[in-house]
Amino acid sequence: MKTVALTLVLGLILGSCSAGPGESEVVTNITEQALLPGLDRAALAAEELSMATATFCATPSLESHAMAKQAWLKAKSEWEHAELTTFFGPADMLRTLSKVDYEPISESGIEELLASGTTIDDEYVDSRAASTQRGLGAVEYTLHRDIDSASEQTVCELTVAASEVVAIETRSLHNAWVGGLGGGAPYAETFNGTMTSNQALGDVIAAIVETLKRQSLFELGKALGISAPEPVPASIPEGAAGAGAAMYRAQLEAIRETLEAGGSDSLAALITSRSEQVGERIDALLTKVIDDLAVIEGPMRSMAAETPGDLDGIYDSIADLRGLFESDVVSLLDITLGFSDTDGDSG
Amino acid sequence: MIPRLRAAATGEVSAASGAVFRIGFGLVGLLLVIRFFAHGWVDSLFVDPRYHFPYPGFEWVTVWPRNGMYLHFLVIGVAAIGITLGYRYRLSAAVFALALAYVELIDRSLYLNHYYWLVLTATVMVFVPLQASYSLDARRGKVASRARFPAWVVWVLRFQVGMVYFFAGLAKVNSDWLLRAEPLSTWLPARSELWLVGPLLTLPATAVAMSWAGAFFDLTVVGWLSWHRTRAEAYPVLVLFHGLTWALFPSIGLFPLLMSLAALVFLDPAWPESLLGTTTKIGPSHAGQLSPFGLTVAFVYAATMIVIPMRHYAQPGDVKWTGEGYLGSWQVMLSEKSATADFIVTDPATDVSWRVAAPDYLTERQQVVMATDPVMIRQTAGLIADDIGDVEVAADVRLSFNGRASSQFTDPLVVVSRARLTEEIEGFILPRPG
Repeated sequence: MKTVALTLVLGLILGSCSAGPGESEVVTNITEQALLPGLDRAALAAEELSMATATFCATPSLESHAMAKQAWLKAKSEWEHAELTTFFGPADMLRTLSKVDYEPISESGIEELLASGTTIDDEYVDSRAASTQRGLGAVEYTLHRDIDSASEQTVCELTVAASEVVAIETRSLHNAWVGGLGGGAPYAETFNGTMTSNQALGDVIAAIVETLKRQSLFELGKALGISAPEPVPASIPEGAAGAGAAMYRAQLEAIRETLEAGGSDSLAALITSRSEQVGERIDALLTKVIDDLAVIEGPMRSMAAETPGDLDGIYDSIADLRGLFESDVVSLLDITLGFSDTDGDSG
Repeated sequence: MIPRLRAAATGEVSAASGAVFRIGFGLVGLLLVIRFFAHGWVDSLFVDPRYHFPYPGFEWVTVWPRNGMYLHFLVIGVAAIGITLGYRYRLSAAVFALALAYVELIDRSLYLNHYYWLVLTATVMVFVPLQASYSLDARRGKVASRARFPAWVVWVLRFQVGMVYFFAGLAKVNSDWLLRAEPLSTWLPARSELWLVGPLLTLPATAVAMSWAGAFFDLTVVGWLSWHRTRAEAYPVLVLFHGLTWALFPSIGLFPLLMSLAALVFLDPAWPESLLGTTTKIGPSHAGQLSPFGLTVAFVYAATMIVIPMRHYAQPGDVKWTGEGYLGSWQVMLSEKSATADFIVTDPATDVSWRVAAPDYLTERQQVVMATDPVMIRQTAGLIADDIGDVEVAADVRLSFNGRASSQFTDPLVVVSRARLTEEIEGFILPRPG
């Protein structure tokens, strides 16, 4: 009995000194240092956008127009940063994506709405407009007209109302994470306590894999003719602002923030503790692709059409990252993506 | 030798433990159905998916409409109750075996070792008289009520249970399990939050110790259970082993309960009576004697059950990597595989190639399982070729296997969409990394 107890105590001591952070610390750090601050920043930026579009429409000028467009860029970028939180948690129930950033928008649908003579207000945008006629995409479309048509009353109605709905919905998502939804527990508590840390990490990794798969296979790959019989540059989700590269960068920086939240108790540290090679490779690829995207100045769609070879390296890095997360990281962390162990029957 | 063996086989033993086996089996079968209903698996695994991966030769086994699938599981449940109560026992066992086999054959991505075992065992039960006692059939006079039956009945059941342990143990005799302690080295640290023992699970030594202990247990437990001197200690160890497995890997589902109940058959056949303080009434035991035909069938069955799990030794490569000879080989929880699967489509008319994902009508679970299985990868390539039309499809799959860095699993230059319903993997699956 004494031997068993001694072994157990020794094991506990050794275990607590073992290499790599614990999964619960990693999840706490991701929640508190990456996901929640990211959502809060997105909500603040959306509120700033709402104010900037209202100011522009109240006092149209070149300056207020430029400020509104700048506010849109910031709101969109912060939203892309926070987008990982929409792959799991309350976003689905709140239908956040359909109100904040549905892609692609329908330019013809928006023009029809503008020409319809309908009074466009928050209530209309929230409950009657189609997903393709609202959200950050619609605001981008209306704001990036010339100043005269952008400040027309009907256009302004849509711009202001869509911005307001984006601000409300982004804040609602943040509130659901920190304060709960319909009397339920705050999702942050569920994520960071009720479910196991391994399940929470599984949600994060699945979100990362989906982001990278979408960027590489469904967007950039199609634009370059790698995942389509012919190049389809329009596969890159990029509107009138031509900010595709900035948005890709924001999504990848969000992945980096998620990986590095907590320093020595971070997801990156956990992965490195299981495989130094995989940890270093992820770091190198993320650094390279973020740097490569940072030097792109014009629209990515134009690049894909005119100088596609310049985007090959970016595609390769993102595709490699996807492979690392989907096969290596999932395996290293024993994460189950979408099913349970094949020897079990827990569905 | 043979006459002595025959005499021993036909000698009488208490039928009580056989009855307990029957009751336990039926209850587990019923629990299986309840879990399918309670978790909504009838819909999510059978009704909702637009496509099911067929087994070559069993393409005719298809999913019923929704009500039909629920009815099908209801039939399995009723058959399980029939087995438990010993009501129309042989019919119940036959219906249970056929209906569960049908379910298993609908979709290859749903293969589970213990469902396979349930089908085999229910089939065996049709031919062994486990309704001899503690059954409604005996009470109703449909069969002669007997407190004893021939020893071969217990032997058959012990073989049925013992083969799982033995072959699961034999499958552990490989360098990944014994030298690299994989996949436990990958799996255990993810359970570090378990109360008290969690920190221990992060230690590399724990995975090594548990790997060796697991192999030793599986390879020898049948011996310990069979030897009367160690039986009393071996069974609690077995329950502890399965309890630990369940605590560490709750998603393993019914397997620990199933095997803990089934292994009771290794105890003295009269153990239920000893436990209840009742005595066995000596009665007639004419039925169930071994005929030459029955003996032949039993030997053929036993030989088949030995050959099937060992057939992969005749094939090149690691069965856990290639999947060749995997089904029915009791490779229980020996692989950790995660893969990234894309498909490369080529239009032969233009020679233009492009890359696509697995069809989005495959469920997330199907996609994940498919990506690690050569046969399902081939079938998916065929689906893509059908969807696009007049194209050839190759698979580009990278696989991380038992803690190794991911490596190329399939040859992306080999077209696999032409012959989809085949187990052939030669030239298509690349060698396992060292």
